[in-house]
Amino acid sequence: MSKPRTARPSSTARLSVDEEAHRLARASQAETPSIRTSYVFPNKRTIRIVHIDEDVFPGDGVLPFAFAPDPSEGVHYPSQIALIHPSEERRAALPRGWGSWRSAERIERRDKKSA
Amino acid sequence: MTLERAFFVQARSDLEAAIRLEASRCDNCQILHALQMAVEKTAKGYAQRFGTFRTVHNAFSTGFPRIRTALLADASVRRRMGLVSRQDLGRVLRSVERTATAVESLNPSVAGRANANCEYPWTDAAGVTRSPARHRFGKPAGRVARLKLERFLDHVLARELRVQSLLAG
Repeated sequence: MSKPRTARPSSTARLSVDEEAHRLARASQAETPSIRTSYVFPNKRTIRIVHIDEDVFPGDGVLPFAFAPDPSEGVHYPSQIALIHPSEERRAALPRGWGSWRSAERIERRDKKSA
Repeated sequence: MTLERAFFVQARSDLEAAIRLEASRCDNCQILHALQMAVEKTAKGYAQRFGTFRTVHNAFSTGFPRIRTALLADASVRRRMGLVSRQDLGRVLRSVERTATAVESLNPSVAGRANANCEYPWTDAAGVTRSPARHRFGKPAGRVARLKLERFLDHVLARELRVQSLLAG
């Protein structure tokens, strides 16, 4: 019996919130060398990302900026994105409704140098 | 109110507009216009304090070396910004220089007649007339770069004015 065919999204199919969040996190890392790591927080409607960036002021905590969808840049969902200093990684309080640091998926930059 | 503080207050108002526009579905040129105003007035606030450079439209990029030198030399500024080390503050300042310069270059007075700006239509070198509302401004002024610059300005202005972040609460 032949294997059942799995529907594969075409190149034009819209990605899920989670897939698009991952793509956006990777794109941000590629554009910004000072981002060490990113955390994607699961949500069904909104992309939520915290980037750990060496070149930002410390002590502000997770203060997300809200962005509207921008299909021309391949972003089809609203997003909330924060940049925090490495000293606050997994320590800073999260905005209400974001869950916990444990619930987030950590995305390491691909070209990260080993210590 | 001192003129220095008045510039910082106005810069914060411009930044608040830019942050609100980011969350709306308006064209990028409107966000960039508000952000450009915030950058320019922040630089002019520091120009009032240090009095070391002419206050023109591209105040940040033209004054940046002097702003950086003056800020790095001032230990009280470093404490206020939350970075004690000169190296760390220098790195943060350098990290937004490129975006601030790119945003300021979109001022019509700086861009000139044949280059992209965020306010008026222009005709490029190939003779094509373009509108800011339909223009894609590229990665130097893209979403991630803007986010970093907006976060920088929010922190600096909140600390200088001794008020909360625009994103707090």
